[in-house]
Amino acid sequence: MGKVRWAGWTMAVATAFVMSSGQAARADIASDKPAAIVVYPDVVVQANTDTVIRLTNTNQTTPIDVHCFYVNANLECASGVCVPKCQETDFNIVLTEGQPIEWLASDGLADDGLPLAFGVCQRNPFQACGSNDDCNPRPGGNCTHSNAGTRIPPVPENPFRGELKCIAVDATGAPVARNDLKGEGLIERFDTDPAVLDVASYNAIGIQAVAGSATSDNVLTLGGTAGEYNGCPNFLILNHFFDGAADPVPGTDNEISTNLVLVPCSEDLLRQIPGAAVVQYLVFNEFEQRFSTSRKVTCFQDLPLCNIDTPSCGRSIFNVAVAGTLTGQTRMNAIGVAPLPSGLLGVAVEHHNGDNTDRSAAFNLHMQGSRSTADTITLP
Amino acid sequence: MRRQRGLIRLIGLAALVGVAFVARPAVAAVTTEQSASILIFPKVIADGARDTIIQITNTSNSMRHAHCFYVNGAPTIPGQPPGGFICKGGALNGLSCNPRVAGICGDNAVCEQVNPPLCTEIDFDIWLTKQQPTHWVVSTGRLYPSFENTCRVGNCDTTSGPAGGHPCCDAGLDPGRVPPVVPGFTGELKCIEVDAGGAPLPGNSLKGEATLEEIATGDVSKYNAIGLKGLNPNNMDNVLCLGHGGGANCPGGPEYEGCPATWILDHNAVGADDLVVREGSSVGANLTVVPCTENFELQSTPAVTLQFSITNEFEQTFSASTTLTCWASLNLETINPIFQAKNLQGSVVQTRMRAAASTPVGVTAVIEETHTVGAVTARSAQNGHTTLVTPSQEPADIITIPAEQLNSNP
Repeated sequence: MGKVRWAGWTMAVATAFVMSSGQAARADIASDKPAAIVVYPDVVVQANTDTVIRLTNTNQTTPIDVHCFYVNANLECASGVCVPKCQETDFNIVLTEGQPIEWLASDGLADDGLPLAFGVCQRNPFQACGSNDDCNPRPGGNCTHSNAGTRIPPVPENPFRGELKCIAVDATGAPVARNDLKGEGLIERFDTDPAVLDVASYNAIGIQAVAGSATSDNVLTLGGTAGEYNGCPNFLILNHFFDGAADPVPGTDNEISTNLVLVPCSEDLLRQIPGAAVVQYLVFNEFEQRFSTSRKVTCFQDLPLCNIDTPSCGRSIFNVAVAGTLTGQTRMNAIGVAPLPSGLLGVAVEHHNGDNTDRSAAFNLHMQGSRSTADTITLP
Repeated sequence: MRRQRGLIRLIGLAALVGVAFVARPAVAAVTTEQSASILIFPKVIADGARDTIIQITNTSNSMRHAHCFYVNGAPTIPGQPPGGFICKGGALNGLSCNPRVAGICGDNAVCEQVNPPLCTEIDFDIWLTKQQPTHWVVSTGRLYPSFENTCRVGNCDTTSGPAGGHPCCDAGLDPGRVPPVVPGFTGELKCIEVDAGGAPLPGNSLKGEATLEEIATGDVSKYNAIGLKGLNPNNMDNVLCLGHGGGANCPGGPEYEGCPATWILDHNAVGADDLVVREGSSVGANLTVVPCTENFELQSTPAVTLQFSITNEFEQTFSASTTLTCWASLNLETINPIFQAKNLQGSVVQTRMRAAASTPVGVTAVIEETHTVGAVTARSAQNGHTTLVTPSQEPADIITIPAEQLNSNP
């Protein structure tokens, strides 16, 4: 009798647990909410193109320290084989309460270019300071918050292709679980003859810290059973025009193509080991017909869709003539592989190419699910 | 037997406890990158100079249906901008007023917007097979099944290439008859996932994008549709409860995630130099806002007053406000000159936008920047951010669909 009652209570507790955990609100990475890590997958600097980086502290009451990394993905070629360098350059930023800043990737931001290059002593507003120590013993008081300590270098090479990753840290440089950062990347191209200005913008992808669990060590765990940050998505979903599609807007004469930019969630910035994954692409056209292909991504990928499966665009499953409809849905599942198995994040850049114009628009990919395997970012 | 009955009761109790655990607080969880049950495209333009391409995809492995509404926010008097709210009639005739304050204009007078938006809606149904993407151009709609010779050929010849193709702009499984919008359309598109009988369904299967294109130059900007996830339970009637539950209209609690109480938008100050071009360039910003509460049965939308808190890079904060009804697309400097760089003394700002306490209506928004140098312009659209833990707008926003629209098979 006692055993039966015990079994009953056990089942009851188990049922309650299942009911409560089955639909528990899963935390997902989001590019439309502030986060502790923000990832700008596509940073471009070349002859007539540059990237404006915006970064904002959404916390209206507390300043925030940020540790950022440019990952240089310029190709390095040897014996006819080219691979991304995957070399990091890091720097620190201090943002005051609610402060937005922006800088040009090719220029960086430092010294007098900073909005609040130094603070002032509260008891003597004519005394510049970088910290409270500068105000003591005389004239005393605290130093007002400023961007002192910030020095954003230009990207390490010109031309440059790669990503930017910024992480919320404390004054000692240790990661903190503060979901206060948001950002945008604006890729701008300006030709003077003929004059063409083109702007494509996307939201930086936010990786939210799990409340109270971000540790102060140098290995950040994304997802998994002991995740300090939300896990990377299982699937990335891209709605796109098939490459070579004619612009359906009456009165236009453009051809549409899309570049897919992918970066790994896992990165060992200490040993310069890039994350890697084989991406399984499932492609659906408007007839519900399905195609698939796969390709490995290591460190960084920026490819026209039709070059994912073949160098010959006309034969690609992403080509409009092969697909047979103007638009499609592509679902991407990253299977982590050596040297550092990783999930992926990304953005898409859609190009509308006319006789004399190339106009583009960037947008964020949709995400579905959360990887069961943890990703890790190892800081120097 | 008695033991079994006790066991069943315990399991039932546990199930209730479990359900209580999962009853989530009504936090705002609009999403621009996950599938949802309601898709909102706040900015849809087909005014002759610009056109819009809509893309919608079913991300599930079952057939899905959606009931969609275009809401025309073009001004009543074409060619003239919408104005503010003024008293019409009475002793205060012609003076500005707040439409939410009852009787503010005195006896025999009303507070009305000058040249208000039309706020007229047309609706239609679409259906998508598993994982099917579809698209249409707003000015033309998608009128003909692609297997007939009547499909819109236009300039969309997809037959070139080694594998051939389909000589039709609208190639694909017929998603239903999508009507073209009226000329001069500026407004929103809202699509609500429904079942085969037309009743709202929390399937969370839809995603979408809008591409705004300037016809003369080919300039494009693109944003993700804003999604509201469906929740369980959903009584599948014609009154959709977003966020906070309660009240006579929402006795069962929230049926969809709520619209956020606060939006965060980063943008350049109006008139600031473009960082890449610098000399001779400037940046403008246009904010498009639609309220989450909409009554398609009565064709009425409550006026909502928006409060803006603007922080520049020097840690200085300013504020502004404006009032809108069903749709507004506002250049920021027309809301208040404080958005101009010469007044902000900065080039980049963080703007927080919320509904005033006296007009508790949630909104959705998208911001579009215009970069100009000489006669050349380029636009880029961005989805806004919401705070991570911001509660949804309270009380619940409500979308009311004419009941008979739910009874017709899509």
